[in-house]
Amino acid sequence: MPLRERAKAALLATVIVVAASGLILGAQMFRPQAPALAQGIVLSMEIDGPGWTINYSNPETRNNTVFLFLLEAARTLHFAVEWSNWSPPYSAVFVDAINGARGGGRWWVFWVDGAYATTAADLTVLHGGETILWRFTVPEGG
Amino acid sequence: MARPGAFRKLSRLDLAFLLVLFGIGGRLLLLRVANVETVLAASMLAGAFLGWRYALFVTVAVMGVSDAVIYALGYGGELGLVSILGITAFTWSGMTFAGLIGAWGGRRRVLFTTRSIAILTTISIPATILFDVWTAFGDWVFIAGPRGVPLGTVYYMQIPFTLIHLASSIVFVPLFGSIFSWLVPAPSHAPLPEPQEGEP
Repeated sequence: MPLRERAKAALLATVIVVAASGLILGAQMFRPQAPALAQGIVLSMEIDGPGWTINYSNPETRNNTVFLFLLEAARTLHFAVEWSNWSPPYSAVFVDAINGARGGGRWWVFWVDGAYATTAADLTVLHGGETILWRFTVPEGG
Repeated sequence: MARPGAFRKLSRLDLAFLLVLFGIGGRLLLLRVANVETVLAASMLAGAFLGWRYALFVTVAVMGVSDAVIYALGYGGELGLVSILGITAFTWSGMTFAGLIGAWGGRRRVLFTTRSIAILTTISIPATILFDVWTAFGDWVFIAGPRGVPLGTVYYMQIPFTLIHLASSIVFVPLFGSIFSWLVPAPSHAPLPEPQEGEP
């Protein structure tokens, strides 16, 4: 490869690395960030499992994402939560099992104040006063 | 020292199968990394190097095999059969668009030059955006919309994933484009026309 062509290739590689890094950093700016709370907030949660229901509320929690609040409930009421992690650059958790309930054509999905979640549980930031509903449900349309 | 010419004599079908392997392998290896994938690059490169028929073949082969493996592993089960079929229609057609864009971009012969690779990389940007706009619409039609999520929210939530997808495309298209442009058979020698008799 001639020297001039090598210089052009090196320039292209540099532009690509800089652009890709910038795009990944840009994506992080859209990532919801849960603020550190100076004081607790009121949250409540209902978990509808197969034949059982768990209710949990805390008037002064500082766990202000759906996932952190779920872990708090699990730690307090002694039930298990299993999840899997999606890798960076846009990592997120997917809840696989709550209190031993998993699989069998059903999945754990959640709503916040009746609204279907549009982000992962660890990226859903709570501000206080919300009610979270977890339901072990059969997918719609199938 | 000259490179042995035999290594460059891969047939178009060989290259298509290499692209299929690259697409499937990359998609499955990167399954846990959201929106970092090799399928769009494989489809685009198939179109650019081999033409639109191979772009269709590579896209269908990669998506068919990798979707079968992914759903067999249990991914996407929370969506339900109707949603999966609907999303499949959007992703497959979106990747086909990318392959056809690659074929359009490569209608002039793609050579093992920085300029060719830079052009392919640039073309991958609108191809990626088109794919994401199209499949986010499919997501809204089959998943988010029926659950009451507005289309605008779906597109807003899509932004970080599209940025990552763009990063993925501008890395994989030139990386594998360089390799494949090197493996593509060199342009055949075109003999110069014979000089005509007579006065100039």
